[in-house]
Amino acid sequence: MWADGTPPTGGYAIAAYIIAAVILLGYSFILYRRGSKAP
Amino acid sequence: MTLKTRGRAITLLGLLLLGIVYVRAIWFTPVERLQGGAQKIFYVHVPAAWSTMLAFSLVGLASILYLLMKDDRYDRFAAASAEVGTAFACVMLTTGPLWAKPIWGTWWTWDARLTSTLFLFFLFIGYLLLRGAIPEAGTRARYSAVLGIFGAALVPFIHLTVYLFRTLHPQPIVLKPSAPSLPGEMLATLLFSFLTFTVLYVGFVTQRYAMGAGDDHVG
Amino acid sequence: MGALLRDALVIARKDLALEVRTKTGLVSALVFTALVLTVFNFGRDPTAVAALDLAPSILWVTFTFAAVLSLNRAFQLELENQALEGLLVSPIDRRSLYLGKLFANLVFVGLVEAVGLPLFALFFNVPILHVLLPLAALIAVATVGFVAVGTLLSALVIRVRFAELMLPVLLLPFLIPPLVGAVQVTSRLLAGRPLSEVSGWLRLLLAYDIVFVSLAGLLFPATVDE
Repeated sequence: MWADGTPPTGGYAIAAYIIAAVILLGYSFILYRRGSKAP
Repeated sequence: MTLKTRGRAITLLGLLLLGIVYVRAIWFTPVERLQGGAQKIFYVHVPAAWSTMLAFSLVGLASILYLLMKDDRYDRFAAASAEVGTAFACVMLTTGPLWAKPIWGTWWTWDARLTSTLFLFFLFIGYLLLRGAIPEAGTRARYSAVLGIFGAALVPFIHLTVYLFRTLHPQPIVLKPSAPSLPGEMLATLLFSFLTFTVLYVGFVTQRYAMGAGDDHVG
Repeated sequence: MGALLRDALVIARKDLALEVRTKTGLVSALVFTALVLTVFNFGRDPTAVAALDLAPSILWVTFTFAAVLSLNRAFQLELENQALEGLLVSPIDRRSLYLGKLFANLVFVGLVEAVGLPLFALFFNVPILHVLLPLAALIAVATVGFVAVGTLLSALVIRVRFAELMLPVLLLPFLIPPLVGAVQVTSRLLAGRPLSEVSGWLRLLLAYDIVFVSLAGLLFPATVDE
């Protein structure tokens, strides 16, 4: 518990933010690569 | 500027905005008292759900328009929206359990939002699989449109099913901040995130649509 | 309207005649149903869970599998007999085509269910005679939903590779609402509770049938015309 009483659940948030970023950045990258390869 | 380049520009903008959302959510938005840090997943999870819904509705709409007008552009748009929707659904379905675990103590919960998104995910995958399995462009467009419309018709039934089910099995009261009653700073972050995810949707679909012209390959 | 139905019945009769001639389809479906019920029985611990608690789910999952199997066999028959091409050349209303296929599939699945239900009652020692009529009505309503959507989706996958796998992948999400509704109502019926408790679910089932039969009839021409 933090001093003000909020539970220490931040780890989940960090994991979620990272995964979301990976998916969105990853998809952006995939689209970019496919766009560069297309005739 | 070609459509592809424009799409890339919009996507880049979206990613920049996403960065801003992240910074704002993590450092400049207050921590919610009862849920702690995990509540911040909300700022990514809910807009992702919104983008998924948006993508799906537009697939349905484009499907109807395609069957009515027989304009290939609607078909291309539907294909693009389905793929993008799948990506957002993945975000939603990964962040959802990560939020559910610390708050409800369980990785999965059959609440309305997660369940609907799971179904949308299945429908998207089915849609994309069907498209991949039909080499002939005209048939593919028609069949996808039929599936798209069918899928759209299913969604209200999913909602109804979840609603009836939950009336039977009430879930424990959940400490989920809903948009209207959020304190100012949290609401601002959320709304900004909605904007960001919409921009990302537009950027992704524009790019994918631009690439769709050369789509006549066997999946 | 009359011509629509008449043509539909002709098509249905043709499909069923094919079925009767070969017989293997029906026999396989019946055996499959019996086997699934058997597996369910051995898959549970009778001392831990009362049959009546699980019974509705077991019944409906079995019926769902049987329906998917039946639909698969329906279009296999189609492919083998080139029947579809022949029909498309004729000036038959496309909606009759859909209705005809729907009828034929309903008869087939209905037969499987008619055998499956008593088997289920036997294997799991579930008394059903006192609610047989409402139960049969429920099964009919839910099955119409399953088969309506399944018949249309089979038309989509008919020429696709791995069609036997594609059909369930596309179909199963659509079957969840009627499946859940059917389980809930069956559970109330078997427990002897009044149906008023499940009026919401009954309305869902009926709405589902109306919406999807209409939609399928509307969209079926798009699956067969050029």
